Amino acid sequence: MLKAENLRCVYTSGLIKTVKKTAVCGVDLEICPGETVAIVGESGCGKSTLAKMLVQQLEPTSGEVFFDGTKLTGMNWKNLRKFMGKIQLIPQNPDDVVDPRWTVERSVAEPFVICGGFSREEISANVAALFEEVGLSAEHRPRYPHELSGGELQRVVIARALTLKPELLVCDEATSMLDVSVQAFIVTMLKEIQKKRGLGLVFITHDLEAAKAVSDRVLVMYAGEIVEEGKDVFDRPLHPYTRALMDAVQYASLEVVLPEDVGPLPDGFSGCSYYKLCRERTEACKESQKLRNVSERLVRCWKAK
Amino acid sequence: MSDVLLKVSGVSVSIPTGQGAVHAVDDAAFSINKHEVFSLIGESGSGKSILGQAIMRLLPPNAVFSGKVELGGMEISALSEKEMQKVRGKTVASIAQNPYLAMNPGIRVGTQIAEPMRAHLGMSKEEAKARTCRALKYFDIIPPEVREREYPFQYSGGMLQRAMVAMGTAADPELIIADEPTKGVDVLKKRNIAAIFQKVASDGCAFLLITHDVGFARAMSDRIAVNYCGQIIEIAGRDAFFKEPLHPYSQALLDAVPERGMHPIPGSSPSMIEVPEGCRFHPRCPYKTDRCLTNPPVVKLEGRCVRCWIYA
Amino acid sequence: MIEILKNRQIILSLIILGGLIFMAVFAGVLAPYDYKEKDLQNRQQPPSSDHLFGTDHLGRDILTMVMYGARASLFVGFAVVSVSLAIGVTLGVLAGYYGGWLDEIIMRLTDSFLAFPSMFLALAITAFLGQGMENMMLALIAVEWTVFARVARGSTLDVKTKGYVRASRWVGASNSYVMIKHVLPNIISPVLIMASIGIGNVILAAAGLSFLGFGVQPSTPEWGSMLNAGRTYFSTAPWLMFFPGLLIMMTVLAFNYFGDGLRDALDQKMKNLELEGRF
Repeated sequence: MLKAENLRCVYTSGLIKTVKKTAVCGVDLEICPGETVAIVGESGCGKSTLAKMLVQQLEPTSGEVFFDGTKLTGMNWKNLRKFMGKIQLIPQNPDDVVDPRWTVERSVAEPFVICGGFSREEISANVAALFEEVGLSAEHRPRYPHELSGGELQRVVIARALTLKPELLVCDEATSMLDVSVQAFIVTMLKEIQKKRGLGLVFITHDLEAAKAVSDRVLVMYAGEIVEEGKDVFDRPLHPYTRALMDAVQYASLEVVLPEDVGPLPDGFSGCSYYKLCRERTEACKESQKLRNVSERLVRCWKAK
Repeated sequence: MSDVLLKVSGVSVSIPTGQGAVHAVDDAAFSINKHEVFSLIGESGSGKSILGQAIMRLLPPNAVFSGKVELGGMEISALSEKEMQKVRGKTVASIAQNPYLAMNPGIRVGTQIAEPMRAHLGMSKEEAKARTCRALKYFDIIPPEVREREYPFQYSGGMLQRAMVAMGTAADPELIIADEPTKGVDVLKKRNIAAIFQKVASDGCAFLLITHDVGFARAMSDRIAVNYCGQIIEIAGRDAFFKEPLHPYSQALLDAVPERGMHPIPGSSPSMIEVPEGCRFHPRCPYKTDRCLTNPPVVKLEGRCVRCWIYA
Repeated sequence: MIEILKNRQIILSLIILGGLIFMAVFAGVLAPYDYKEKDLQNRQQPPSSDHLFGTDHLGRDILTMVMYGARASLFVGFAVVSVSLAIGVTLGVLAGYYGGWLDEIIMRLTDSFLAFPSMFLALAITAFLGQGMENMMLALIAVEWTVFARVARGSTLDVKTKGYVRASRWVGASNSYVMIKHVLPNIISPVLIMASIGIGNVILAAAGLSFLGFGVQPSTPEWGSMLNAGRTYFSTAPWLMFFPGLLIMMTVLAFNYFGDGLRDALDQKMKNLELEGRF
């Protein structure tokens, strides 16, 4: 359904001395209807940038995104409008996405109003149905965002994303700021909605346990690249970075590891991007690493078997 | 019981707002032994941070406090603000959530770490500096002589986090209160924070961890208290708690964790202004009976206690 | 809205402003005399029971003139600020929302207006266009709109980055829809605060221009021109200047107070929201 090819995003900053920072480099991705794909990685690995590029909120530096075979990247805003309702982003911070001066009901109704062609009665019936679908009662509807809790607000945002019958939802850390019980509620609800509507779901998170619990397929990102992709990644991690993540979740070895202290890779280094931190590095790791197919798994490490 | 470090008894805090008083803490009672890591877990808005602030006496000025907090046999809730300043940072220190907000960007990191030593231990500038360097080295901020003279913006996030812990532990406190140290932090950084805390704890410092992160609490603590809607509803040893939580809310909370299948708790958190009558969890509780409409007793069972009628 | 009324500063200034507006609107009914009525027998009378504020050099009742003067001053204040607000906010929102070359043009334009001392600019414009109330108002608008343009642009830059603006665009909303429905309501509070303080400033500036003889014709009662007329007799009849001066001061103070109070109240509202958000 959604297909991304060789997505790349480079941020440039600085006035006099321009600094280029590659946030995402060369990501290929495919999502099928009804499938849940989790993208995991530490903060700063480029997963949010990737999400924004997938929903066309950010123009990739290079690479293409296709939706049902239609190329979305480079399309002008007028043509893009037709696809907008089909792919929706659910961001981390729900209170940023609803206008603080609007009632939540009005925020949910907004996509209908913008698209036009709905009567007042249709809109209010649709909105009521959507509120019910996300488990909010009628008394929540006329409230303002600040009168709702974080979890309730996140449900409002989901209801809004569902208005235009999307085929793909991209959840960017949608539950990581919430309490476990609320997170459990939202995730269960998203899975139910997915089952009922046959949506594709991209679940971007740093919470490996949550990723494991919801997803059919997992992509592990490190430094803007996909380092491992497959179905049972967490049961059988092949890439050293995935293993490090797994250890961290279980608080396995409580010695201090300092990923941020190793400094950037030297200029012109074309080898494995995890080289400096990898405990299993050898001379051969200085060679550039390609995603290899290893027993139904894609791994960016020559050692993986 | 000479090894009790912090004893909190009958502490209640309410904060008046436009809509009525928020009963953030109701009748909190627990004690922390020396060298113990004690976690207070609960969802956001359950008043656990306010309890931490109440112990440090850093409540908002309009908050109404009642109860008794004893630290090392001294009743700190009765101290004057001036006397409390001598305790804060010396016997009990707090570690903030966000290192970027907690450190003054315009002052050298070394000076900030040395401040509690000079204020509380009466050290000279040279002594404090030498000790700051030792502390930095201890937390792997190397080379300490250089790093000591740097400003917070020259530090990476993880280093700043460690520097903050160094500042908190500078005057050798007996108890550290850390409020949500892992909020919004990814797994690798979380593990690093756990590692530093473990290091400090192994030197004999007691911890009060206030967190909503069940996994973090499990990895770190000796004992766990669960907070729900302003009340502590269960206190138990870590292993016993994770093996068999007693209170229905504790059970539901653990079932909501991804590793245990992410089962949501039915209903939603009650308002802190109009709290449910009787047991505060009863509207969401699967085992509720009529007696749950009256206040449940705190039942003591083999080293743990639970606020529920089932065990009465 | 009701919370705003709990602020003492706001209540005090509202009472004063309400009194002034009431006085201006019902000047015809309330005033003891006709403002054109000259009583040459009773020239330069000090305040007495007949003439509470005294009379001027033509024997006109000062209280009556001050009441009618409130009409002119308040009208100028409100009219100038409303027009400036409309121009300034429109340009400011456009500049902030679109950015780029449009932003450059609009902001350099406001900068060039701001480069002159405001009173000097107003003087130059009235001197060029000629004396009269309309010209004076034009001059004051030319000075005042830049304030709103700056404030509106700054707030728009902030609102523009909010998620709800992106979310709205992402379901297909046009730029004008976003500007009207999302940006405007969210920048309106700082703009209203500026407007309240702006009215005070405009009244003061209008009185200043009239005092210098560039504003309202001396025959129409206006506080500034009354000051000017009374100047000659200051040593013998100080009440000629005292009462209009007092009214100017009270009005400007009340508007500034109202603006300050509004800001505090809105800030407080934000703080309360944050505080409640913690539970």
